[in-house]
Order: sequence, then C-alpha cells, then structure tokens
Amino acid sequence: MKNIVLTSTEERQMVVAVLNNDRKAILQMIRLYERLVMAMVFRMIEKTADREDLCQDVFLKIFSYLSGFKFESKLSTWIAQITYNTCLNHLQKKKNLLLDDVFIVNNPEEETRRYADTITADFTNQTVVMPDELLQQSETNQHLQTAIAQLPILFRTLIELYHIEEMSYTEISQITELPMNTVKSYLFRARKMLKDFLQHQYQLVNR
Amino acid sequence: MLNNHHHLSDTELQMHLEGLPFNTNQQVHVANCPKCMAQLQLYQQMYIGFEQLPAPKLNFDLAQAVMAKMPVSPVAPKSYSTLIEKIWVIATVFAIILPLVLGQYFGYFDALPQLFSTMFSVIPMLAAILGTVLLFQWIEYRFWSHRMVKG
Repeated sequence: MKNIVLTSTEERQMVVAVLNNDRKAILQMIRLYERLVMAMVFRMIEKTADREDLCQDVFLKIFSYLSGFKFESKLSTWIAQITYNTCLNHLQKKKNLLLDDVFIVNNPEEETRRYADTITADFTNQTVVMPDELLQQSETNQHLQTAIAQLPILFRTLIELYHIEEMSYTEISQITELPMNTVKSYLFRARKMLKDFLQHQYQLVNR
Repeated sequence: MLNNHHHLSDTELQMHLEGLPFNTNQQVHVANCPKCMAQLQLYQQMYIGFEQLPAPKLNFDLAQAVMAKMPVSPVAPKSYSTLIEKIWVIATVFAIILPLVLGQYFGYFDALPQLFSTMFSVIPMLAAILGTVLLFQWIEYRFWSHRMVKG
C-alpha cells in the first residue's frame, strides 16, 4: 500500500495508544492515513466543500468506532471501508440532486454503456494508432485524469484502490462488499473504458 | 487464444500487463502487428500514468482540522475504567465477606441448609437468564457494532 508500511504489531500499538487518548498517536494516525482517505473521497465526491467535510467526518468516525476494530483486517482496509461507506451514504443522501451518481453506484453496467456512447461510436473500425504517434506520457497523464473523472463512481473507486493505492482484490472486495470476481470484471471494464478514451484523444490529436 | 481478426483481445493485453506472459504466438503477433502493438502501448502508458497521478490536496491541514474537532476524551480514560474495575472488585469482596460476618453476628448459620436448597432450585433459572443476556450481548457485539461502523 502506498506510503503505509506498518506491521500488525505497530498497528496494534498505534490503535491502543489512540484509544488511550494519546494525542501524538492520534495525529500520527491521521498523517498516516489522510492520503488514503483523501484519495478515496476525491474519487467519489466531486464538490470541493463536500470533500472537505467528508474527509474530516471520516476521521471523526474512525476515532469514535476505533474501539470496535477487531484486527481482523488491516487497519487501512478498515479505514478504507469506513471512507467508502461514508461517501456512499453521502451520495445516497444527495439523491435528489445527484440522481446520476446514485444510479451509477447502483447500476455500473448501464453506466458503462452510457459512458461508451459519450466518448465514441465504435472503435472496431477505427484507424490504427501507430506507436510513434502516441502522446507524451505527461499528456497521457492529463488525459488519464480526465478519463478517470468521467468513469462511473464505482469504477473510478476501484481504479483508485487497485492501481493507485495498490490494494489486493481481497481487500477491495472487503471494502466494497463486492464479490472478488465482480471486482476483477469491473476493473477490466474500467481499464478498457480508459484505454478507449485515451485512444479517442490520440485520434483527435492525429486527425 | 487470438480473436477472429487475429488481433489480441483487451483481456489478453490486460492479463499481460497484470503479469501473465504472452505465449509464443502472441509474442510473434504483437511484434508484427502495429495495431496490437499500439493497443499494448496505450495500456502501458495508462499503467505508467496511474503511478504518476498527482496526490489529492486540500487547501487546509486535515490533521489539525480533525484534531480541533476531536473531543478532549474520545474514549473513556484509563483512570475511569480502572476505577470502575476497582469498585467491582471491592463490591464482590464485600458480597462474600458481609454475609459471613453478619451470619456470625446474628447467628443465622443454622438456617443455611434451607437457604441453599431454595437457591439450588433457582440456579437453573438464573443461569438461563444470564445465558440469554450474554447471548444477546455477543450478538450485538459481533454483528450490530460491526454494522454501525459502516454507517
């Protein structure tokens, strides 16, 4: 996992210290996991003000429920689970304003189809992009950010957890409560959608 | 297995980037097919891109903001729980010693056999009540508190 290298003993020591109201340990825990929490919140939530509130809410939840953490999973997995559920609850509460988002979370297959329609008609008959016509990596990175932002919420969360936070399928399955095969299948589809988007960008550039 | 157009499928390309090596046919095909090579390079650029995405940033210090919102005692302080434990121990010791002292003083030890015969008939009922309470507590701890965290 990115930047978080704690043994289970160190995790346990930190949790015990936090439960004993050790302010230094509390600060240490926030510093260790803020990147993970922020990364997930930023992927799932679009409004800046909501992001700011949710990042804080997640940590307040973590500390109020920490005594219930049973060390059955890694602390990072448990924290990611709380973050995921907090964001999901937030999205569901906003259903009047963000019908699309709720729809996306509940029905990724339909959303995949919609997404594909928005970026391209059919890639099967497209012109071949030659390797020497590929964009620079920096340009790719910019397009990649745009493409991820356009993915369904669930898909971009899976991309974040697997490719950026480097979590295993098992951990992601625990966090999202999706079967492992579904996680793999959604990740495959998300990557294909991203690749199609990038390919579309290259074609625009080379047109 | 190559698809109908003899090009590598997205599954095969992704599996390769996830660590599954190409077989000989696939290797030969990719080396000689500009379309498959381009698709593979797109995926490769995407994988590199994942590692280079900028980290999210807030325009304030999250740790300090959370610390400011934290209650002074987020959990019961150690001294408080220790005090409760001490009270329980003292109460238990008194519950054992007091009847003995009072029995000695008031001389009701002669009535003990009768008292115990009544107690033994009540014990199964008490055990059943205690068992039920413990069962519900365990259910609450095991399932309910776990669900609450997800809220």
